[in-house]
Amino acid sequence: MIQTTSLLVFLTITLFSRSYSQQSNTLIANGEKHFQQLRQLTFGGENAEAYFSFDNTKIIFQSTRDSFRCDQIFTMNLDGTNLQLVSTGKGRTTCAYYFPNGKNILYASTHLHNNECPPPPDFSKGYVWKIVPDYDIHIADANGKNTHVLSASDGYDAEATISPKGDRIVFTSTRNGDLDLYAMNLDGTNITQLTNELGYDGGAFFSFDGKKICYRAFHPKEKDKIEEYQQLLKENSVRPSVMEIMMMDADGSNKQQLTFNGKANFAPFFHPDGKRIIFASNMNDTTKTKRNFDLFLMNIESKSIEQITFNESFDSFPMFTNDGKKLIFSSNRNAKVRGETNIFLADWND
Amino acid sequence: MKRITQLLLFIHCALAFSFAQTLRDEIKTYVQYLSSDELEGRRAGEPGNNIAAQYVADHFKKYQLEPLGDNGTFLQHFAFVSGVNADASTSCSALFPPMKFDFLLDSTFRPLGFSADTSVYGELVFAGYGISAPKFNYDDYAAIDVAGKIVLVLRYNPPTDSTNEKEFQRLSALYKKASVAKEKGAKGIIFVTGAMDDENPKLLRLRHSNDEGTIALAAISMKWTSVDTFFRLHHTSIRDVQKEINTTKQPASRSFGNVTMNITTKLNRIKAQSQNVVGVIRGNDMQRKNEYIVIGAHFDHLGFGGEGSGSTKPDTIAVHNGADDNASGTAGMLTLARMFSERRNTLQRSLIFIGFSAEELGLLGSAYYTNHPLLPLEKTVMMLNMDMIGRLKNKELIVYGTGTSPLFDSLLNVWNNDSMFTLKKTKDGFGPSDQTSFYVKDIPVLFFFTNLHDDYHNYRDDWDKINYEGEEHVVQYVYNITNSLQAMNEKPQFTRVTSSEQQAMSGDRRGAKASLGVVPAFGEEVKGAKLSGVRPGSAAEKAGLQKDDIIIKFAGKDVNNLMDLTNYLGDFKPGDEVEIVVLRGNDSVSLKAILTARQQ
Repeated sequence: MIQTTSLLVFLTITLFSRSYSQQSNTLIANGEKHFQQLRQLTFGGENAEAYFSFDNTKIIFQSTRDSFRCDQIFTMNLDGTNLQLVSTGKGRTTCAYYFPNGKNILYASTHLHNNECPPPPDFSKGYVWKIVPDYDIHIADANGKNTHVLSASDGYDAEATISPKGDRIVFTSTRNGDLDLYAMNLDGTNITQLTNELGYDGGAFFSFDGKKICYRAFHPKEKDKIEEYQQLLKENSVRPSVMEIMMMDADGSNKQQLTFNGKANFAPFFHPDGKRIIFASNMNDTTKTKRNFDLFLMNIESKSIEQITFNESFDSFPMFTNDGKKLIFSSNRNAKVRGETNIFLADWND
Repeated sequence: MKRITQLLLFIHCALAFSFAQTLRDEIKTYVQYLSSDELEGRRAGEPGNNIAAQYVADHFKKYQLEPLGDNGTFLQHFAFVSGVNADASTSCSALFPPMKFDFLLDSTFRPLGFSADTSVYGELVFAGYGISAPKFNYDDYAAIDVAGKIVLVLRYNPPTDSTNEKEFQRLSALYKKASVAKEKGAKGIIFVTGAMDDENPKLLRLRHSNDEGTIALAAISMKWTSVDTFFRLHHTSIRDVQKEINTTKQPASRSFGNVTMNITTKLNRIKAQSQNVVGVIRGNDMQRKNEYIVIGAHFDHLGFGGEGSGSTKPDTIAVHNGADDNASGTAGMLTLARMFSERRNTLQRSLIFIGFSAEELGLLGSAYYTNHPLLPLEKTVMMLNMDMIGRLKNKELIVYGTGTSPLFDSLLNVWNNDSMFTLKKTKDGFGPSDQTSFYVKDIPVLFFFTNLHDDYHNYRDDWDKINYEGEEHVVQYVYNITNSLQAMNEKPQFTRVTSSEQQAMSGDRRGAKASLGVVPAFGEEVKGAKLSGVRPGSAAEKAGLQKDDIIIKFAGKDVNNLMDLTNYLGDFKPGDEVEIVVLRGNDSVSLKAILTARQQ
């Protein structure tokens, strides 16, 4: 009974009756000439993976805040107002995305397996990401109601995004024993495997015309690297220290590697012009810790790369609006405490 | 050269942890200043304390807090008793015809701080150690009648087996012995440290304790050498009598026959002034901005130490810098004020920042604030306290009050999800610092504390022993928790921690005393404790006690008078549930009360 009651409370409360976006050019670091304005939309906690709805009026993101023990999914307006919890408040969630109709959302969640948060990664083996096998992809109404499973397997199913064309969902799964990309219809039918190289293929997004997919990949070649990768995967982990940006056609053909720097490159997203990809990378971090991730913009044709952000901590998860005039991303900038990550919205100056 | 190295180091680290490095340095700056010799240990009532208060106020101003104190300043002044001395009219003499002895104040006798101002005359009776513990088969009062007389008692307690040791120690407290003497009808009590315990006789210190009231009798201390005369009259000595008690473990109480004492006690209590420092950052939400979260830390310490200062090394007079206690918590509070000030436009609830004074003298500053709140206490939804947060060791962070609101436990876990700390949670809100003053007002509290150490309350608690990296983590943790609480839709609901949930307090420095909240009816000749009223919101009111009730039983024990009640109450802790039987008219009514903490 307590469970049900608290669930209802979680679903119906709006945590902020008002919210505030901080608009300040002091948030813009030296050299960030593409940012005309920069607004901070969240203040405190761990907020990340913020993505626009297709009509660019809403933002969906994951956040650890208030009394939630681990990430839950929230939505808000572009100015940070009307914040609403849309996941169940149970388990851990990640990788939320709006459907093109604006009426549905999807996200990955572990709540069907366990109401509690999964244990945090074991950093005794160095910095690793947890590939929690309890993740299933859920679909829900935009207000969080009517949650049901869209795709599930014995393993990890997450990192789902949707084509602007409104026909296919791309997602990452371990259903064949390796981390690969798959595509399916919006109702979860007609699943096809898009990648089959040994290694981690994930974090995929469609281009605005729906014809291309960009993603991140780690394809170990040496024997010891392969063994380490397979051993970690058995322990439901990956080491994200080397990842390259990749691109392919929406059906999985014409795979092309775009970066070759041997660093951690991830979170690629197409510019609306289809000719450029923005992504996060620590390629220019000269420190030992390699925690300084910045945003970079690559010209697909020429492979030339321009550094976009110069903040000395973490900038990642970039996404453009349809008109290319706004960029949303997550950053440690203006953090008050260690690990605080907030969501920022930039007016983009091309 | 040193300067350049540091600069390079800083730049290098800044690449990875730019904000972190700044926070650590900021904390260090505050701690170093507050615990510098210049502030002379920040004892309440002393100039160094006032300088510290002004330092806190200056930073509140810098961070654009709104002042809530007196006359548009940040300072909330309050008066307190800083000490006590004996009036010249205090006297003591012994009469055993034809002889008369006049004793000399401060050389052969001295009043005690809890003595009433009174003049008494009566026969002198020796009451052993002054312990009445029939259930342990030991009662110094069993064979003597002390009503209307003056008792002479030894300090400490006779040797006992280890099972009774704790109880005997409790019964051997000066205040307790005086209460027992009063209960037995004595008009005065004289303490001596027995010859077996003290070859070089000394008088007890006259000190004021805010934890104690006065007891309605004359209480003084004398040297055993001065009273040995009375034993000699009966062909024995105080040493032989004490030896007899210690050996037989049986009382050796006796009357001295025709020896009478004449004692006049009058104490002058010295008033001093100190100040809390109080400012607010207003929230923005239309409703919730009228709800307040208090973030507090005391900035006072022990001054130069010495006898009665609370120093653990009272023989050394030196500046007690109190870097951990509590420059560290004050630094945390100032750092949070700065951080939230920078995000003031995102705040939902309002945050009240308070630097408390006179904590070391018995939570005086925080008790003054909660009795004279500067913004409505009923709108104060919770209080976070930091006291001694600078010695993080083995990642062990103690948090009190985790059971005072249902929200707290999960919130403490949320922000510890990377296991930065090994949390030692105590559900109880009562604990040895200022949050207690809020908890007794039914306000949810959280108290953060990195535990005691060898330098606690002595002159070695210096700034260079602070774990700044550790404190930075604590401050970040408190920030995250506060930030969640200020933004949440629901305010934290208050829950009282019941006695079964009260855990042994690690590092407890001062136990809170239990209170029932009755107003006694004095001068009524009844058997029992008659009430002229009950205090609003008190345990008594909640239990259903009424005006004119006569308490006749308390926790199974017969109550003959008010002092019985007071003494029995002392055997319980706040939060304990006790059964009380009262006479109401001709009926006997049984009630249950949950005791609260006694107000200072």
